[in-house]
Amino acid sequence: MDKEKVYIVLREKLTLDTEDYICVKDIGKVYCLEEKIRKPIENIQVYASSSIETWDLIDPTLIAEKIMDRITNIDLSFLGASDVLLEIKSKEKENKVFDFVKVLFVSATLFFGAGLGIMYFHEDVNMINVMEKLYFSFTGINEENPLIMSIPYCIGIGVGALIFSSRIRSASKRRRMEPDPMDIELYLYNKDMEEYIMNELRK
Amino acid sequence: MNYILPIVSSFSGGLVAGGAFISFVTLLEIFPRLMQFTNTDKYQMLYESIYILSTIAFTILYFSDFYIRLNSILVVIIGLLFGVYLGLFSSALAEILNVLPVILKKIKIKRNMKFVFYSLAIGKVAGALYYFIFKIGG
Repeated sequence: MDKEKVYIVLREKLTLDTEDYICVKDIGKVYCLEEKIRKPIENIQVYASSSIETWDLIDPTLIAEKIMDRITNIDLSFLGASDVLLEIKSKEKENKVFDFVKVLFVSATLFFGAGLGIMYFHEDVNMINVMEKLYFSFTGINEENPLIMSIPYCIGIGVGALIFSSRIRSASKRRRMEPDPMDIELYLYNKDMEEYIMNELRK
Repeated sequence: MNYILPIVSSFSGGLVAGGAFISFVTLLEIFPRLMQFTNTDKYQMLYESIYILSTIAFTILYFSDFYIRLNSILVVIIGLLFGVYLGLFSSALAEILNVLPVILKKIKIKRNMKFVFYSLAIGKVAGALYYFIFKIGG
């Protein structure tokens, strides 16, 4: 008897709950002519998450191992992504107040920031003039170089720079594993460089 | 004709400036960073609308003599928010110019990158304070 051909097309990323499990059908599509072979394969459990929020990878060898344990006499092929990235994320209890504060902070920053940005652009990057104009708009007082607004602005620049470049500190391992922009930039830079060297060597 | 030409030309100028303003911010990836930092991806539409609304509002404000009387505490908070945004903005700008990755690679700093960030932030604050207190901008 010929071996039945089974193809599994893997997805790239999957988000799942903590203390949950996933089957083959969650991480990819199974193609097989025989319905009675496809169904059991789809329902084989391949991964169970613990109670910790984190990131993980499933590679095809692990999936193949789990399937071959149960069902023999098939010819298994993997298509699509080479590994499946798992984001294990608990259904967090929504903290309404904290959420509101965060959204308010981001909204206010963007609102005033966009305003300052466009005004700065119109004023041909003359910050002192912009500050005077804004100070007049907010208080109705014409004051030259309003330090009451520009000194908080200076401090804010430091805060903004640190927000941009600092890693996220969180109790959750998943959040801590997220890179900061500099990590991504360094990674991309290294990747470009390696590609360049490889291209040089090929010549 | 006396009305059409100024209106058309300034409207198209506004279109270009507005488009450039938004596309520049998109390129800088300030929004994704803020949303990742605060874990509020689902409010993306709200943030975008606020951004566009504010751009229009402050453009009108720029050309008008409108003013309100705010408490000085509020003015301090608004000043701080201006700074937070511009700090994000300038860091993002340095980021896409690939200055830091090159320097960090050349002088081989892998650990303790946080000190580099601290010094950058402190330097920005010091420079801005110097600018305002000694009024080099005139």
